[in-house]
Amino acid sequence: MDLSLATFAGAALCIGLGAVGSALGEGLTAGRAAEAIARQPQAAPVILRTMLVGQAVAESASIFALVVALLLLFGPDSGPLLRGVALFSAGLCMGAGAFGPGYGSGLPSAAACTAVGRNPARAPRINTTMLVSQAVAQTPSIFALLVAFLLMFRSQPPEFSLAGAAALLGAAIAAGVSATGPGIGAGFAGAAACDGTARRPDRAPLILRTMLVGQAVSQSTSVYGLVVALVLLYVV
Amino acid sequence: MEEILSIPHWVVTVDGRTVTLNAATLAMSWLVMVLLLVVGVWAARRPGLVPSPFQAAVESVIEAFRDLVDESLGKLGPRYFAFIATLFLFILVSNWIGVVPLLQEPTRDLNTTLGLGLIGFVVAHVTALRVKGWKAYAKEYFQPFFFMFPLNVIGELAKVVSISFRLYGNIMGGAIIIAVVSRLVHYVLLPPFLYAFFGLFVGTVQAFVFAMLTLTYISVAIQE
Amino acid sequence: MDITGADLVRAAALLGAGIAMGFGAIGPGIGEGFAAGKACEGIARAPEHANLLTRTMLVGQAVSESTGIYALVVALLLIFVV
Repeated sequence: MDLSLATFAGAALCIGLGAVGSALGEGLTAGRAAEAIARQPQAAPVILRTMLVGQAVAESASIFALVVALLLLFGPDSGPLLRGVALFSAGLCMGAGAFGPGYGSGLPSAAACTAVGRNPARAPRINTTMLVSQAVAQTPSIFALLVAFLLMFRSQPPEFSLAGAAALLGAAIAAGVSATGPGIGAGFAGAAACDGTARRPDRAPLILRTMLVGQAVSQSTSVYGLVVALVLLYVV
Repeated sequence: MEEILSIPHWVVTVDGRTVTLNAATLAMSWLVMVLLLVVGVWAARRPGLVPSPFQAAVESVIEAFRDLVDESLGKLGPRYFAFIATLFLFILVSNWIGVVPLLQEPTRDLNTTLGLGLIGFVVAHVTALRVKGWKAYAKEYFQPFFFMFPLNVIGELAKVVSISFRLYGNIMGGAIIIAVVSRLVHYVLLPPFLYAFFGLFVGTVQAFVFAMLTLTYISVAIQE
Repeated sequence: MDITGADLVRAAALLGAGIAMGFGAIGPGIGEGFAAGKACEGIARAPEHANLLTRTMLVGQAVSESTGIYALVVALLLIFVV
């Protein structure tokens, strides 16, 4: 049957939801960078560099959403009904999964802009902390992407079953929505670490380590989301 | 695209029972071990008081880890330093090896990461039993109330699940993004950057996170 | 296509498992992130207490993680028991 309704709706949800978080995070970063430059105009080039690098990484969650949306738009347009449900779920999963990590990885870059403005000599250290924290904050969106790809590319049985459709949707919600909290939480930790690095650059390794452990632990709930999604896809 | 998600394997039948061997994972794990051995032997070949740049680099990594482990485990540190450093180096090289064409990360296979997670779990709990004695160890599972016992057990098991699925999800997700985006842009310009970010950078961060979490689980298990 | 009551219950349980884990993960994620952020702040201010701060952070996170584990338990119960 014709699946274009499912793929179009999925693609729209995917990029529509997925763009929100990154946009918020990047806007926050730009605002903080403007503030920092107003306070320290002579440090403008350093602040600008931090802002651009931070925004580029914060963007990656919404780029994942774009990739999934494009694959849905130019992908298969006919097949059994269950495949349509799977394609729609893939869009929902990636869209919901990009919000938290996108916004969350904007928080460290915003804090890093302020921090670099306060202590431009320590910009490399602060940038390292920012990049590491953003990379970890992106992790939940990578999980959502993994589940979205599984949903898109696994073949579905030809006959429709309500339980099968519910399992696909449930997997999308489990992996997608569960990325929100850990993404934002990891962003909080990263922001505090960037701030701390500017205050006490001599303690940067210690702060970075604490941040990494804290972020990793706060991410375990998104890993549970991934596990439930995989169970719903493979075991049920 | 489906071929990215699957891992090549052989199915062997022994006495009517089928055994699945993940050939690529096995081969790659052995390759990583050989690489680590070669680097280790090479670095320690002619240890001099004035180290060669290579020896100095290896020594600084090892020393940083020794300080780290000593700091979190106190006097038990020396006993676990080798374990934590080995975990880190093995996962690091495993994650990096995917950057080389034709090779793939052994950590892309859930079996590898689950195995590594289980090793850490067993080490943490055996250490806790040794340090605290079985009475104090068992008592912890009934905190704060006795009926929390099943939830405490699930909480402990969830640690293994979270640590191993985190590594698997990151490496597998990265591999998929690289494969799909490379195909979308027809292998022009973007792939080297993707490899640098997902293979080298995320791979390093995740290897460190895995080693640190294992260390944290051990240090939490021996407290009080 | 005819849908029986049992099908409906099974479908609701599977969808419910996804919803339980998906939404149940939001709170603990944000909360544990707060704890990690405050620990980083504390270490920047008082690096000599780093070990104590890290331990406090881990204990606090373990407690706030428990609701996430409840969500996981409920999701797995819905999948395998219902």
